[in-house]
Amino acid sequence: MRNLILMHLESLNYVNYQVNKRLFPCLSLYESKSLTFSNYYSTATSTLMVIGDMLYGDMLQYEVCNNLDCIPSKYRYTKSFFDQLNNQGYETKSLYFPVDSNDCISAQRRRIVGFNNELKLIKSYETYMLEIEEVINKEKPFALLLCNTISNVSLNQYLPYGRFDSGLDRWRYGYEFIDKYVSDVMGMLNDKDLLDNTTIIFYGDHGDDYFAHGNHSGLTHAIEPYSSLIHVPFWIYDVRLIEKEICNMLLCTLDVKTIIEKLLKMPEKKIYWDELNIFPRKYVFSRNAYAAQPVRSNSFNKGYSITDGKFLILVSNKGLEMYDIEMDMLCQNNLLNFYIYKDGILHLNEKLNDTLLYHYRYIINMSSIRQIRQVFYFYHKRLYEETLKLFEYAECIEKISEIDFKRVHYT
Amino acid sequence: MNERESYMNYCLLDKQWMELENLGGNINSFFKERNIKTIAVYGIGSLTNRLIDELQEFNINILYLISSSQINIYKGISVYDIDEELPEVDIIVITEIDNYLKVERELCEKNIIEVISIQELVDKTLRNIKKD
Repeated sequence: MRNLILMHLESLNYVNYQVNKRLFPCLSLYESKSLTFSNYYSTATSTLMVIGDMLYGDMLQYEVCNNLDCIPSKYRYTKSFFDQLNNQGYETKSLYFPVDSNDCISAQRRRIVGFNNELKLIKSYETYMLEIEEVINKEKPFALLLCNTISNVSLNQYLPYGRFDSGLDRWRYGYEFIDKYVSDVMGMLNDKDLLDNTTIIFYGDHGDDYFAHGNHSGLTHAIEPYSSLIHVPFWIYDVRLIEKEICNMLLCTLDVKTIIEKLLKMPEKKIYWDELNIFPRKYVFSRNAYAAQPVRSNSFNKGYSITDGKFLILVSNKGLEMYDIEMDMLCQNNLLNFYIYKDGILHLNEKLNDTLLYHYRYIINMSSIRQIRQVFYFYHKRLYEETLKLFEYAECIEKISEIDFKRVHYT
Repeated sequence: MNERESYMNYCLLDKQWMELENLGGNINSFFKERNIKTIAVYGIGSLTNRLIDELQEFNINILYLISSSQINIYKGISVYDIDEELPEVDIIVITEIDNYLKVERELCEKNIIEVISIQELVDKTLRNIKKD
Protein backbone atom coordinates (compact mmCIF):
# COMPACT_ATOMS: atom_id res chain seq x y z
CA MET A 1 0.00 0.00 0.00
CA ARG A 2 1.20 3.51 -0.81
CA ASN A 3 1.70 6.12 1.86
CA LEU A 4 -0.12 9.41 1.80
CA ILE A 5 0.69 12.92 2.98
CA LEU A 6 -1.67 15.86 2.82
CA MET A 7 0.70 18.82 2.92
CA HIS A 8 -1.24 21.85 4.07
CA LEU A 9 0.03 25.19 2.75
CA GLU A 10 -1.41 27.73 5.14
CA SER A 11 -2.76 31.07 3.90
CA LEU A 12 -1.17 30.70 0.50
CA ASN A 13 -3.10 31.69 -2.58
CA TYR A 14 -2.23 30.95 -6.18
CA VAL A 15 -1.09 34.45 -7.08
CA ASN A 16 1.14 34.89 -4.01
CA TYR A 17 2.76 31.55 -4.66
CA GLN A 18 3.35 32.26 -8.36
CA VAL A 19 4.61 35.80 -7.86
CA ASN A 20 6.84 35.07 -4.85
CA LYS A 21 8.49 31.87 -5.97
CA ARG A 22 11.80 33.09 -4.61
CA LEU A 23 10.38 32.42 -1.14
CA PHE A 24 9.61 28.84 -2.08
CA PRO A 25 12.68 27.14 -3.59
CA CYS A 26 11.82 23.75 -2.11
CA LEU A 27 8.12 23.89 -2.94
CA SER A 28 8.98 25.00 -6.49
CA LEU A 29 11.37 22.11 -6.87
CA TYR A 30 8.81 19.51 -5.84
CA GLU A 31 6.10 21.25 -7.82
CA SER A 32 8.26 20.88 -10.93
CA LYS A 33 8.31 17.12 -10.28
CA SER A 34 4.56 17.00 -9.73
CA LEU A 35 1.32 17.27 -11.61
CA THR A 36 0.14 20.85 -11.01
CA PHE A 37 -3.42 22.11 -11.25
CA SER A 38 -3.78 25.78 -12.12
CA ASN A 39 -7.55 25.85 -11.60
CA TYR A 40 -7.98 24.49 -8.10
CA TYR A 41 -10.33 26.32 -5.72
CA SER A 42 -11.05 25.94 -2.03
CA THR A 43 -14.64 25.52 -0.95
CA ALA A 44 -14.10 27.69 2.14
CA THR A 45 -12.01 30.61 3.33
CA SER A 46 -10.78 29.37 6.70
CA THR A 47 -8.53 26.46 7.62
CA LEU A 48 -10.85 24.24 9.64
CA MET A 49 -13.75 24.61 7.22
CA VAL A 50 -11.45 23.52 4.40
CA ILE A 51 -10.13 20.52 6.37
CA GLY A 52 -13.68 19.41 7.19
CA ASP A 53 -14.77 19.71 3.54
CA MET A 54 -11.72 17.82 2.35
CA LEU A 55 -11.85 14.92 4.79
CA TYR A 56 -15.59 14.36 4.46
CA GLY A 57 -15.61 15.10 0.72
CA ASP A 58 -18.69 17.24 1.14
CA MET A 59 -19.73 20.66 2.40
CA LEU A 60 -22.67 19.62 4.54
CA GLN A 61 -21.01 18.08 7.60
CA TYR A 62 -20.87 21.29 9.65
CA GLU A 63 -23.50 23.51 8.03
CA VAL A 64 -25.68 23.24 11.14
CA CYS A 65 -22.97 24.89 13.27
CA ASN A 66 -23.58 28.46 14.34
CA ASN A 67 -19.89 29.10 15.01
CA LEU A 68 -16.54 27.40 14.46
CA ASP A 69 -16.50 25.99 18.02
CA CYS A 70 -19.95 24.48 17.76
CA ILE A 71 -20.43 20.71 17.90
CA PRO A 72 -23.04 19.76 15.28
CA SER A 73 -26.42 18.60 16.55
CA LYS A 74 -26.36 16.05 13.76
CA TYR A 75 -23.55 14.67 11.61
CA ARG A 76 -24.18 13.98 7.96
CA TYR A 77 -21.28 11.50 7.86
CA THR A 78 -20.00 9.24 10.60
CA LYS A 79 -16.72 8.41 8.90
CA SER A 80 -14.06 10.73 7.58
CA PHE A 81 -11.65 9.85 4.82
CA PHE A 82 -8.97 9.28 7.45
CA ASP A 83 -11.34 6.94 9.34
CA GLN A 84 -11.71 4.97 6.12
CA LEU A 85 -7.95 4.79 5.67
CA ASN A 86 -7.63 3.67 9.27
CA ASN A 87 -10.01 0.79 8.58
CA GLN A 88 -7.97 -0.14 5.55
CA GLY A 89 -4.90 -0.65 7.72
CA TYR A 90 -3.25 2.74 7.50
CA GLU A 91 -1.51 4.37 10.42
CA THR A 92 -3.17 7.78 10.34
CA LYS A 93 -2.13 10.94 12.09
CA SER A 94 -3.25 14.56 11.82
CA LEU A 95 -0.94 17.20 13.19
CA TYR A 96 -1.60 20.88 13.77
CA PHE A 97 1.09 23.35 14.73
CA PRO A 98 1.22 25.85 16.44
CA VAL A 99 -1.68 25.92 18.89
CA ASP A 100 -3.38 29.25 19.26
CA SER A 101 -7.12 29.75 19.10
CA ASN A 102 -10.09 28.00 20.69
CA ASP A 103 -11.20 27.04 17.19
CA CYS A 104 -8.40 24.52 16.77
CA ILE A 105 -8.84 23.24 20.33
CA SER A 106 -12.52 22.55 19.71
CA ALA A 107 -11.76 21.00 16.32
CA GLN A 108 -11.14 17.68 18.05
CA ARG A 109 -14.51 17.72 19.81
CA ARG A 110 -16.08 18.53 16.48
CA ARG A 111 -14.51 15.43 14.87
CA ILE A 112 -12.94 17.60 12.22
CA VAL A 113 -10.57 14.86 11.04
CA GLY A 114 -12.81 11.93 11.92
CA PHE A 115 -14.50 9.87 14.57
CA ASN A 116 -11.54 7.56 15.07
CA ASN A 117 -8.93 10.17 14.37
CA GLU A 118 -7.60 12.97 16.46
CA LEU A 119 -6.31 16.36 15.38
CA LYS A 120 -3.17 16.48 17.45
CA LEU A 121 -2.28 19.99 18.52
CA ILE A 122 1.46 20.50 18.82
CA LYS A 123 3.13 23.40 20.56
CA SER A 124 6.71 23.11 19.34
CA TYR A 125 8.17 22.59 15.91
CA GLU A 126 10.63 19.97 17.24
CA THR A 127 7.78 17.88 18.67
CA TYR A 128 5.85 18.29 15.44
CA MET A 129 8.75 16.88 13.42
CA LEU A 130 9.29 14.06 15.94
CA GLU A 131 5.61 13.12 15.61
CA ILE A 132 6.05 12.84 11.85
CA GLU A 133 9.20 10.80 12.26
CA GLU A 134 7.48 8.43 14.66
CA VAL A 135 4.82 7.58 12.08
CA ILE A 136 7.09 7.11 9.12
CA ASN A 137 9.44 4.93 11.14
CA LYS A 138 6.72 2.35 11.70
CA GLU A 139 6.66 -0.59 9.32
CA LYS A 140 3.13 0.25 8.31
CA PRO A 141 1.56 2.30 5.50
CA PHE A 142 0.78 5.76 6.79
CA ALA A 143 -1.52 8.66 6.01
CA LEU A 144 -0.57 12.03 7.44
CA LEU A 145 -2.37 15.34 7.50
CA LEU A 146 0.32 17.91 8.14
CA CYS A 147 -0.93 21.36 9.07
CA ASN A 148 1.90 23.69 9.84
CA THR A 149 -0.05 26.92 10.01
CA ILE A 150 2.83 29.23 10.89
CA SER A 151 2.36 31.21 7.67
CA ASN A 152 -1.01 32.38 8.96
CA VAL A 153 -0.50 36.11 9.68
CA SER A 154 -1.75 35.69 13.23
CA LEU A 155 0.49 32.69 13.93
CA ASN A 156 3.87 33.82 12.60
CA GLN A 157 4.50 35.19 16.10
CA TYR A 158 5.48 31.59 16.95
CA LEU A 159 8.41 31.71 14.54
CA PRO A 160 11.71 31.28 16.35
CA TYR A 161 12.95 34.57 14.93
CA GLY A 162 11.83 38.01 13.77
CA ARG A 163 9.76 38.85 16.81
CA PHE A 164 10.92 42.45 16.82
CA ASP A 165 10.40 42.88 13.08
CA SER A 166 7.43 44.39 11.32
CA GLY A 167 4.33 42.36 10.57
CA LEU A 168 4.99 42.96 6.89
CA ASP A 169 8.39 41.28 7.12
CA ARG A 170 7.09 38.49 9.33
CA TRP A 171 4.53 37.76 6.62
CA ARG A 172 7.47 36.82 4.41
CA TYR A 173 9.26 34.86 7.13
CA GLY A 174 6.15 32.73 7.61
CA TYR A 175 6.27 31.54 4.02
CA GLU A 176 10.02 31.06 4.10
CA PHE A 177 9.59 28.90 7.17
CA ILE A 178 6.93 26.81 5.42
CA ASP A 179 9.37 26.19 2.59
CA LYS A 180 12.08 25.17 5.06
CA TYR A 181 9.64 22.89 6.83
CA VAL A 182 8.58 21.20 3.57
CA SER A 183 12.28 20.74 2.85
CA ASP A 184 12.69 19.08 6.29
CA VAL A 185 9.79 16.68 5.70
CA MET A 186 10.83 15.80 2.16
CA GLY A 187 14.39 15.29 3.37
CA MET A 188 13.12 12.95 6.07
CA LEU A 189 11.17 10.92 3.51
CA ASN A 190 14.16 10.83 1.20
CA ASP A 191 16.45 9.63 4.00
CA LYS A 192 14.03 6.78 4.73
CA ASP A 193 13.74 6.01 1.03
CA LEU A 194 10.00 6.68 1.13
CA LEU A 195 9.60 9.33 -1.57
CA ASP A 196 8.80 6.88 -4.36
CA ASN A 197 6.21 5.08 -2.29
CA THR A 198 4.40 8.15 -0.98
CA THR A 199 1.71 10.22 -2.68
CA ILE A 200 1.92 13.81 -1.48
CA ILE A 201 -0.90 16.26 -2.02
CA PHE A 202 0.19 19.88 -1.68
CA TYR A 203 -2.78 22.15 -1.20
CA GLY A 204 -3.32 25.77 -0.23
CA ASP A 205 -6.20 26.06 2.21
CA HIS A 206 -7.12 29.69 1.54
CA GLY A 207 -5.49 32.96 0.66
CA ASP A 208 -5.67 36.36 2.28
CA ASP A 209 -7.18 39.67 1.28
CA TYR A 210 -5.24 42.61 2.63
CA PHE A 211 -8.25 44.85 3.13
CA ALA A 212 -8.82 45.44 -0.57
CA HIS A 213 -12.49 44.51 -0.20
CA GLY A 214 -13.09 46.41 3.03
CA ASN A 215 -11.57 46.23 6.48
CA HIS A 216 -13.72 43.36 7.75
CA SER A 217 -12.85 44.57 11.26
CA GLY A 218 -9.28 43.47 10.58
CA LEU A 219 -9.83 39.99 9.13
CA THR A 220 -7.66 38.94 6.19
CA HIS A 221 -9.44 35.64 5.64
CA ALA A 222 -12.66 33.94 6.69
CA ILE A 223 -14.22 36.72 4.63
CA GLU A 224 -16.25 36.48 1.42
CA PRO A 225 -14.87 33.95 -1.08
CA TYR A 226 -13.12 36.23 -3.59
CA SER A 227 -10.54 34.54 -5.83
CA SER A 228 -7.69 35.81 -3.63
CA LEU A 229 -9.23 33.68 -0.87
CA ILE A 230 -10.16 30.53 -2.78
CA HIS A 231 -7.82 30.22 -5.77
CA VAL A 232 -4.97 28.29 -4.21
CA PRO A 233 -2.04 26.10 -5.26
CA PHE A 234 -2.59 22.39 -5.68
CA TRP A 235 -0.27 19.72 -6.94
CA ILE A 236 0.27 16.01 -6.62
CA TYR A 237 3.67 14.51 -6.10
CA ASP A 238 3.48 10.88 -7.13
CA VAL A 239 6.36 9.35 -9.06
CA ARG A 240 3.95 7.12 -10.97
CA LEU A 241 2.21 10.07 -12.65
CA ILE A 242 3.63 10.51 -16.11
CA GLU A 243 2.47 14.04 -16.94
CA LYS A 244 4.62 16.48 -15.05
CA GLU A 245 3.01 19.58 -16.42
CA ILE A 246 0.23 21.99 -15.64
CA CYS A 247 -3.32 20.74 -15.91
CA ASN A 248 -6.06 23.38 -16.15
CA MET A 249 -8.93 21.11 -15.18
CA LEU A 250 -11.30 22.75 -12.71
CA LEU A 251 -10.99 21.09 -9.29
CA CYS A 252 -11.93 21.91 -5.72
CA THR A 253 -11.46 20.75 -2.12
CA LEU A 254 -14.30 18.23 -2.46
CA ASP A 255 -12.41 16.39 -5.23
CA VAL A 256 -9.31 15.67 -3.13
CA LYS A 257 -10.80 12.62 -1.41
CA THR A 258 -11.84 11.00 -4.71
CA ILE A 259 -8.50 11.75 -6.33
CA ILE A 260 -6.62 10.15 -3.45
CA GLU A 261 -8.91 7.14 -3.29
CA LYS A 262 -8.28 6.51 -6.97
CA LEU A 263 -4.55 7.14 -6.75
CA LEU A 264 -4.11 4.78 -3.81
CA LYS A 265 -5.84 2.01 -5.75
CA MET A 266 -3.68 2.41 -8.85
CA PRO A 267 -1.05 -0.25 -9.52
CA GLU A 268 2.61 0.49 -8.89
CA LYS A 269 3.44 1.39 -12.48
CA LYS A 270 3.50 4.54 -14.58
CA ILE A 271 0.06 6.10 -14.87
CA TYR A 272 -1.54 8.90 -16.85
CA TRP A 273 -3.83 11.38 -15.08
CA ASP A 274 -6.63 10.51 -17.50
CA GLU A 275 -6.61 6.94 -16.21
CA LEU A 276 -8.08 8.22 -12.93
CA ASN A 277 -11.25 9.30 -14.75
CA ILE A 278 -11.80 12.37 -12.62
CA PHE A 279 -15.00 13.97 -13.82
CA PRO A 280 -14.38 17.62 -14.78
CA ARG A 281 -16.39 20.14 -12.80
CA LYS A 282 -18.50 22.79 -14.48
CA TYR A 283 -18.11 25.10 -11.53
CA VAL A 284 -16.86 25.35 -7.95
CA PHE A 285 -19.04 26.63 -5.15
CA SER A 286 -17.45 28.20 -2.04
CA ARG A 287 -18.50 29.96 1.13
CA ASN A 288 -16.99 31.69 4.15
CA ALA A 289 -19.47 30.68 6.85
CA TYR A 290 -21.76 27.83 7.72
CA ALA A 291 -25.44 28.24 6.87
CA ALA A 292 -26.40 28.41 10.55
CA GLN A 293 -23.82 31.07 11.38
CA PRO A 294 -25.14 34.58 11.88
CA VAL A 295 -24.18 37.49 9.65
CA ARG A 296 -21.80 39.80 11.41
CA SER A 297 -21.89 42.70 9.04
CA ASN A 298 -18.54 44.26 8.10
CA SER A 299 -16.48 41.56 9.83
CA PHE A 300 -17.86 38.12 9.08
CA ASN A 301 -20.06 39.09 6.17
CA LYS A 302 -21.65 35.91 4.92
CA GLY A 303 -20.76 35.20 1.32
CA TYR A 304 -21.08 32.52 -1.33
CA SER A 305 -19.37 32.37 -4.68
CA ILE A 306 -19.40 30.26 -7.77
CA THR A 307 -16.69 30.10 -10.41
CA ASP A 308 -16.00 28.32 -13.64
CA GLY A 309 -12.37 29.47 -13.56
CA LYS A 310 -13.11 32.40 -15.89
CA PHE A 311 -15.90 34.25 -14.08
CA LEU A 312 -16.67 34.44 -10.38
CA ILE A 313 -20.12 35.48 -9.15
CA LEU A 314 -20.35 36.33 -5.48
CA VAL A 315 -23.32 37.01 -3.27
CA SER A 316 -23.30 38.15 0.34
CA ASN A 317 -25.43 40.05 2.79
CA LYS A 318 -24.22 43.11 0.86
CA GLY A 319 -25.44 41.95 -2.54
CA LEU A 320 -24.12 40.62 -5.83
CA GLU A 321 -20.70 40.97 -7.43
CA MET A 322 -19.18 39.50 -10.56
CA TYR A 323 -15.56 39.32 -11.69
CA ASP A 324 -13.59 38.12 -14.68
CA ILE A 325 -10.91 36.35 -12.66
CA GLU A 326 -8.86 35.38 -15.67
CA MET A 327 -8.23 39.05 -16.39
CA ASP A 328 -8.78 40.45 -12.91
CA MET A 329 -7.21 37.80 -10.65
CA LEU A 330 -7.80 39.61 -7.38
CA CYS A 331 -11.42 40.62 -8.00
CA GLN A 332 -10.80 44.34 -8.21
CA ASN A 333 -13.46 45.34 -10.70
CA ASN A 334 -17.04 44.32 -10.04
CA LEU A 335 -18.47 43.95 -13.55
CA LEU A 336 -21.96 44.51 -12.17
CA ASN A 337 -20.96 48.11 -11.39
CA PHE A 338 -21.82 48.82 -15.03
CA TYR A 339 -25.38 47.56 -14.68
CA ILE A 340 -28.66 48.18 -12.96
CA TYR A 341 -30.32 44.98 -11.77
CA LYS A 342 -34.07 45.35 -11.83
CA ASP A 343 -36.82 42.70 -11.82
CA GLY A 344 -34.28 39.97 -12.48
CA ILE A 345 -32.86 41.67 -15.58
CA LEU A 346 -29.46 43.29 -15.90
CA HIS A 347 -29.77 46.61 -17.70
CA LEU A 348 -26.66 48.43 -18.80
CA ASN A 349 -26.24 51.64 -16.82
CA GLU A 350 -26.38 53.83 -19.95
CA LYS A 351 -25.60 56.99 -18.03
CA LEU A 352 -22.37 55.57 -16.65
CA ASN A 353 -21.54 53.80 -19.89
CA ASP A 354 -21.75 57.06 -21.83
CA THR A 355 -19.22 58.72 -19.54
CA LEU A 356 -16.58 56.01 -19.86
CA LEU A 357 -14.29 56.35 -22.83
CA TYR A 358 -10.77 55.31 -23.85
CA HIS A 359 -9.83 51.72 -22.99
CA TYR A 360 -13.19 50.96 -21.40
CA ARG A 361 -15.00 50.96 -24.73
CA TYR A 362 -12.67 48.32 -26.12
CA ILE A 363 -13.10 46.00 -23.16
CA ILE A 364 -16.74 46.58 -22.38
CA ASN A 365 -18.02 46.51 -25.93
CA MET A 366 -21.43 45.31 -27.11
CA SER A 367 -20.38 41.66 -26.98
CA SER A 368 -18.99 41.96 -23.44
CA ILE A 369 -22.15 43.66 -22.23
CA ARG A 370 -24.16 40.74 -23.55
CA GLN A 371 -21.66 38.11 -22.34
CA ILE A 372 -21.63 39.45 -18.78
CA ARG A 373 -25.44 39.40 -18.68
CA GLN A 374 -25.70 35.88 -20.01
CA VAL A 375 -23.00 34.38 -17.79
CA PHE A 376 -24.53 36.18 -14.82
CA TYR A 377 -27.98 34.68 -15.41
CA PHE A 378 -26.64 31.14 -15.60
CA TYR A 379 -24.45 31.33 -12.51
CA HIS A 380 -26.80 33.47 -10.48
CA LYS A 381 -29.33 30.64 -10.68
CA ARG A 382 -26.74 27.96 -9.81
CA LEU A 383 -25.40 30.09 -6.96
CA TYR A 384 -28.87 30.41 -5.49
CA GLU A 385 -29.59 26.69 -5.85
CA GLU A 386 -26.28 25.65 -4.26
CA THR A 387 -26.72 28.10 -1.38
CA LEU A 388 -30.28 26.93 -0.83
CA LYS A 389 -29.09 23.31 -0.50
CA LEU A 390 -26.87 24.29 2.45
CA PHE A 391 -29.61 26.23 4.21
CA GLU A 392 -32.10 23.42 3.64
CA TYR A 393 -29.72 20.87 5.12
CA ALA A 394 -29.03 23.13 8.10
CA GLU A 395 -32.77 23.60 8.58
CA CYS A 396 -32.46 27.37 8.67
CA ILE A 397 -34.01 28.22 5.35
CA GLU A 398 -35.37 31.50 6.73
CA LYS A 399 -31.80 32.76 7.07
CA ILE A 400 -31.22 32.70 3.32
CA SER A 401 -33.09 36.00 3.13
CA GLU A 402 -30.03 37.59 4.80
CA ILE A 403 -28.13 36.89 1.61
CA ASP A 404 -29.04 39.51 -0.96
CA PHE A 405 -29.54 37.83 -4.33
CA LYS A 406 -31.57 40.75 -5.67
CA ARG A 407 -29.27 43.73 -5.37
CA VAL A 408 -25.89 44.67 -6.79
CA HIS A 409 -23.19 45.43 -4.23
CA TYR A 410 -21.66 48.45 -5.95
CA THR A 411 -18.00 48.57 -5.07
CA MET B 1 -41.64 48.43 -25.05
CA ASN B 2 -44.77 49.98 -26.54
CA GLU B 3 -46.17 49.27 -29.99
CA ARG B 4 -44.64 52.35 -31.54
CA GLU B 5 -41.15 51.61 -30.17
CA SER B 6 -41.46 48.06 -31.36
CA TYR B 7 -42.43 49.20 -34.85
CA MET B 8 -39.55 51.70 -34.92
CA ASN B 9 -37.10 48.98 -33.93
CA TYR B 10 -38.43 46.73 -36.64
CA CYS B 11 -38.05 49.51 -39.24
CA LEU B 12 -34.50 50.24 -38.12
CA LEU B 13 -33.57 46.58 -38.35
CA ASP B 14 -35.12 46.31 -41.81
CA LYS B 15 -33.24 49.39 -42.96
CA GLN B 16 -29.92 48.09 -41.61
CA TRP B 17 -30.42 44.65 -43.11
CA MET B 18 -31.17 46.21 -46.52
CA GLU B 19 -28.15 48.49 -46.21
CA LEU B 20 -26.02 45.47 -45.44
CA GLU B 21 -27.27 43.73 -48.56
CA ASN B 22 -26.75 46.84 -50.67
CA LEU B 23 -23.16 47.01 -49.51
CA GLY B 24 -22.70 43.44 -50.70
CA GLY B 25 -22.55 42.01 -47.16
CA ASN B 26 -24.50 39.34 -45.40
CA ILE B 27 -24.88 38.00 -41.89
CA ASN B 28 -23.05 34.85 -42.89
CA SER B 29 -19.79 36.68 -42.26
CA PHE B 30 -20.62 36.93 -38.52
CA PHE B 31 -20.95 33.16 -38.21
CA LYS B 32 -18.01 32.43 -40.48
CA GLU B 33 -15.60 34.72 -38.65
CA ARG B 34 -16.65 33.32 -35.28
CA ASN B 35 -16.45 29.75 -36.58
CA ILE B 36 -20.06 29.17 -35.57
CA LYS B 37 -21.33 25.95 -37.02
CA THR B 38 -24.57 25.19 -35.22
CA ILE B 39 -27.39 27.67 -34.75
CA ALA B 40 -30.81 27.70 -33.17
CA VAL B 41 -33.36 30.45 -33.66
CA TYR B 42 -35.83 31.66 -31.04
CA GLY B 43 -39.11 32.85 -32.51
CA ILE B 44 -41.23 32.13 -35.52
CA GLY B 45 -42.31 34.86 -37.90
CA SER B 46 -41.22 37.01 -40.78
CA LEU B 47 -37.75 37.75 -39.36
CA THR B 48 -37.12 34.06 -38.80
CA ASN B 49 -38.21 33.32 -42.37
CA ARG B 50 -35.79 35.91 -43.67
CA LEU B 51 -32.98 34.54 -41.51
CA ILE B 52 -33.66 30.95 -42.60
CA ASP B 53 -33.64 31.97 -46.27
CA GLU B 54 -30.42 33.89 -45.95
CA LEU B 55 -28.60 31.21 -43.99
CA GLN B 56 -29.75 28.46 -46.32
CA GLU B 57 -28.22 30.40 -49.18
CA PHE B 58 -24.86 29.96 -47.46
CA ASN B 59 -25.45 26.35 -46.46
CA ILE B 60 -25.56 27.20 -42.74
CA ASN B 61 -27.76 24.79 -40.89
CA ILE B 62 -30.27 25.95 -38.38
CA LEU B 63 -30.45 22.97 -36.06
CA TYR B 64 -33.79 23.83 -34.51
CA LEU B 65 -36.22 26.61 -33.67
CA ILE B 66 -37.53 27.53 -30.23
CA SER B 67 -41.11 28.63 -29.86
CA SER B 68 -44.10 28.22 -27.59
CA SER B 69 -46.37 27.84 -30.63
CA GLN B 70 -46.78 24.10 -30.00
CA ILE B 71 -45.88 23.14 -33.56
CA ASN B 72 -43.28 20.44 -34.10
CA ILE B 73 -41.86 21.37 -37.49
CA TYR B 74 -41.58 24.75 -39.20
CA LYS B 75 -40.18 25.07 -42.70
CA GLY B 76 -38.73 21.59 -42.31
CA ILE B 77 -36.92 22.51 -39.05
CA SER B 78 -37.70 20.93 -35.65
CA VAL B 79 -39.31 23.23 -33.12
CA TYR B 80 -38.58 22.98 -29.38
CA ASP B 81 -40.40 24.56 -26.50
CA ILE B 82 -38.19 26.74 -24.26
CA ASP B 83 -38.87 24.44 -21.31
CA GLU B 84 -37.56 21.38 -23.12
CA GLU B 85 -33.94 20.33 -22.86
CA LEU B 86 -32.31 22.10 -25.78
CA PRO B 87 -29.64 20.36 -27.87
CA GLU B 88 -26.23 22.01 -27.74
CA VAL B 89 -25.58 24.69 -30.35
CA ASP B 90 -22.94 27.38 -30.78
CA ILE B 91 -25.41 30.26 -30.64
CA ILE B 92 -29.10 31.07 -30.39
CA VAL B 93 -30.41 33.98 -32.43
CA ILE B 94 -33.50 35.66 -31.00
CA THR B 95 -35.78 37.13 -33.66
CA GLU B 96 -38.40 38.42 -31.24
CA ILE B 97 -37.76 42.12 -31.04
CA ASP B 98 -40.02 43.03 -28.17
CA ASN B 99 -38.98 40.67 -25.42
CA TYR B 100 -35.31 40.15 -26.07
CA LEU B 101 -34.03 40.74 -22.53
CA LYS B 102 -36.62 38.47 -20.94
CA VAL B 103 -36.12 35.68 -23.45
CA GLU B 104 -32.36 35.99 -23.11
CA ARG B 105 -32.60 35.59 -19.35
CA GLU B 106 -34.89 32.60 -19.65
CA LEU B 107 -32.56 30.85 -22.07
CA CYS B 108 -29.37 31.70 -20.21
CA GLU B 109 -30.65 30.69 -16.79
CA LYS B 110 -30.98 27.16 -18.10
CA ASN B 111 -28.04 26.83 -20.45
CA ILE B 112 -24.46 27.97 -20.78
CA ILE B 113 -25.01 29.34 -24.23
CA GLU B 114 -24.36 32.46 -26.24
CA VAL B 115 -27.52 34.26 -27.24
CA ILE B 116 -27.76 37.20 -29.64
CA SER B 117 -30.60 39.34 -30.90
CA ILE B 118 -31.18 39.63 -34.62
CA GLN B 119 -30.74 43.39 -34.26
CA GLU B 120 -27.27 43.07 -32.75
CA LEU B 121 -26.31 40.48 -35.32
CA VAL B 122 -27.27 42.72 -38.25
CA ASP B 123 -25.91 45.88 -36.62
CA LYS B 124 -22.53 44.29 -35.89
CA THR B 125 -22.16 42.84 -39.34
CA LEU B 126 -23.07 46.17 -40.92
CA ARG B 127 -20.57 48.07 -38.75
CA ASN B 128 -17.81 45.67 -39.71
CA ILE B 129 -18.62 45.92 -43.41
CA LYS B 130 -18.50 49.71 -43.14
CA LYS B 131 -15.12 49.50 -41.35
CA ASP B 132 -13.71 47.37 -44.20
